[in-house]
Amino acid sequence: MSVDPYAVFVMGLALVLLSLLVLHSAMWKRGEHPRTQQAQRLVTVVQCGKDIRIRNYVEGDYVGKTVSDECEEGSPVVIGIYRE
Amino acid sequence: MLLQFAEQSPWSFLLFMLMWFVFIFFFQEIQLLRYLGNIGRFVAHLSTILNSSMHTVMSRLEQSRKDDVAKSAIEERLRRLVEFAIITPTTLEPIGLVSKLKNIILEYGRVLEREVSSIMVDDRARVQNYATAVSVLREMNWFYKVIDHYYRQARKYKNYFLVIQLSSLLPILKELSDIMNDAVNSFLKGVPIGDSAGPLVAFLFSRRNCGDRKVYENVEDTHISECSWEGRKVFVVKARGPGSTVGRLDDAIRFVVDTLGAKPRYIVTVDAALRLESEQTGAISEGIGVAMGGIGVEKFNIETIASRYGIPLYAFLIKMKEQEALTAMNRQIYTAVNDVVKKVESFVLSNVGVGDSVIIVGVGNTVGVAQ
Repeated sequence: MSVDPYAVFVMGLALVLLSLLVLHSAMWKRGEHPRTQQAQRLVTVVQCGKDIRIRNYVEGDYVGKTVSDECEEGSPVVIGIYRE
Repeated sequence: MLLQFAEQSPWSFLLFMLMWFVFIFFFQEIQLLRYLGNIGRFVAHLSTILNSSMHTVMSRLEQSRKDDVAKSAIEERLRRLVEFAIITPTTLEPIGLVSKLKNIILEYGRVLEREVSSIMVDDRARVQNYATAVSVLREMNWFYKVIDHYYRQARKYKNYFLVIQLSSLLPILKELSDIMNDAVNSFLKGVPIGDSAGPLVAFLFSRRNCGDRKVYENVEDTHISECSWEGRKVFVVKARGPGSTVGRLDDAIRFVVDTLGAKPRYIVTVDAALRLESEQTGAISEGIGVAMGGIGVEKFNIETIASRYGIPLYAFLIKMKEQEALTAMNRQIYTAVNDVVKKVESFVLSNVGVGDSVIIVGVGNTVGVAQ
């Protein structure tokens, strides 16, 4: 039975390429790849007397800032800003 | 099998053997090309995010620029600051090295702030935040240049081992570049970051326990307050916010001990600490010593003062990843901050006697946290 050398060459090449592909995907799966984080919202924690309220962050907020018109009683102060 | 194959078709056998040898000798070359391709794509990505961050900082500076400052002048100054060099002192003779380092670090901070404030409207907190963003941009630029340098060298000399090293570090380098990119945005916004945990503990402790307090503003960029709580004299020290600064905590402690003549029973430091992969973000640990990162200049000075006066050092650490330390504070860290305030209160009540004094130091960048 005669074997076509061209077919052997193509098959060999295909085998090598397939091996490289398998190697590449195996290495990619094994490695840790930082993913893009989901968008998180920033919130501001405001203390109104003994109450604590959480609202959306507004540009210019900082911890220690006195914010007016946010509480019925007491002087409201920002006591925290975090993302969730 | 090969012999059988050879008998049937010698040409096929020769071709097969040729391919075999080609792959034996060129396998390394193929791997090299593959790794170089990965690194090249990363370098291109780094260049893109550097340009994008530069553009973001530039547009923020343009929005806050003084009327008499041209847009081209902002770009020129930003590019100059990004290329700014800090030459560390020689370590050939280590005596006095700490004070030399401190001198250089303080001068860098002054120059950066002066340059930024000369193009921006007069708003100290914003100037400090933008100056820190420019500083991160400078780090990013240096990071890009170093990686690009090794990439080019590896390509030039076809250095397989250099390529392997770079390639194996790629996931970590990618994470670092993302951290720096996110940090620029956090500083521009002026919101508390993970590293602000220490100053936030100091703020919340003062707010909960020090209604009537005496404030000292003798140390630049540093807030020192004195109050009486449960019969104990408490000095709370933190960087002065809400602009981005780490303050001069060593000078503040020296001021409390030397100038105010306090004899503290303890110096309690609270800081963010990098966590290991097995640890949880927001985990709290306690220990002895000065909880403080950075180059070590301030840490050295505080240790010197403490040892000179025989003051015990106690520390609270809030664990987090580097990415969390340099980007907007997350919920776990905020919860941990509130827990640490309670732990510090409990520690003071248990270990500092009535009539004694204690210094509580909130270590870290106070961006977004006032006093």
